[in-house]
Amino acid sequence: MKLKRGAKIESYVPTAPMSDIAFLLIVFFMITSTFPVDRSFVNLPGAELRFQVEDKSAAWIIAYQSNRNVFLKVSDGKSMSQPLEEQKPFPVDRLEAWVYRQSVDNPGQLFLLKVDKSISYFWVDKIIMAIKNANTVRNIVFLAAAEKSF
Amino acid sequence: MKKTTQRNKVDPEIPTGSMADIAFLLIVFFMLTTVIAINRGIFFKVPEPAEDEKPQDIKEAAIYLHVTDDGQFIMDQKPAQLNDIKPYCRQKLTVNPNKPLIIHCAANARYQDMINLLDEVKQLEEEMYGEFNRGKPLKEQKRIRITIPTLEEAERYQNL
Repeated sequence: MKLKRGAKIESYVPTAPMSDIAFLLIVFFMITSTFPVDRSFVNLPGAELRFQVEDKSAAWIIAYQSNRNVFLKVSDGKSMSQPLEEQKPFPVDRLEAWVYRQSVDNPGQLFLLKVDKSISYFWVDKIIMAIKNANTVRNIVFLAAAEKSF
Repeated sequence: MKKTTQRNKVDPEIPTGSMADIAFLLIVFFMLTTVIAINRGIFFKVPEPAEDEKPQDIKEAAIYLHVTDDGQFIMDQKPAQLNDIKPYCRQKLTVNPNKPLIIHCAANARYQDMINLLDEVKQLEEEMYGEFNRGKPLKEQKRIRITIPTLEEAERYQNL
């Protein structure tokens, strides 16, 4: 008896769930991705014991060296860091005013210090002095990298 | 009249073939631009200013740690290595946990040297109070009383 040939089923790889997976991944990345507040190239000092900070809630003070001058950048933690004063290295008087305004607008705010490890303490002292003179800031974090260096 | 032949009916559909391409393009974009920003650092609580504007911690009563211009460490007027700081401070703080600790850096010392010193003290703080502080709010946590005087303040201390 001759067998009746059935309808031919074409072989294919189902691609419909692929877009579901892809969109799921997009949603994941959109939720988890954060844009860094500061992109300045700073060699952070190394430390063994470090405390994790939520950067969005903190104000940033960035000090970096360029052409033997020390420059300052600041950020409120929500927008990208900006130089405190264009072309002028280390405007310490303006830093104090900025710290004061920032801490009055956001009481109890944490201040993050992102300072290059090779900078002399003289400049760090000026930042600490500005913070102390503002008299409204209590908590600061000296950002540090994992590797201990000497 | 001859009846017109009906062609094969084409089902209406939205082409979704390119959707996966667009989606993967977006994934690649997010993967390249995403920065997993975990910021870590050394926490420091700025001491409350004294009411009468005078320095709170008198040098003689406190543990005095100094970083010289060339990165040497001085511990209560004696030269020391970085490794000596923790045992020395532990011994002092075991006797009197409220003893203040002054970290004074010379103007030309490197920032890294100051951080090395602060890191040692913070490690000691973790060893002494870490267990007690676990899970407690910041206000209730026990801490070593660390003071980092500004260069101006340090000069004032020395003139006292």
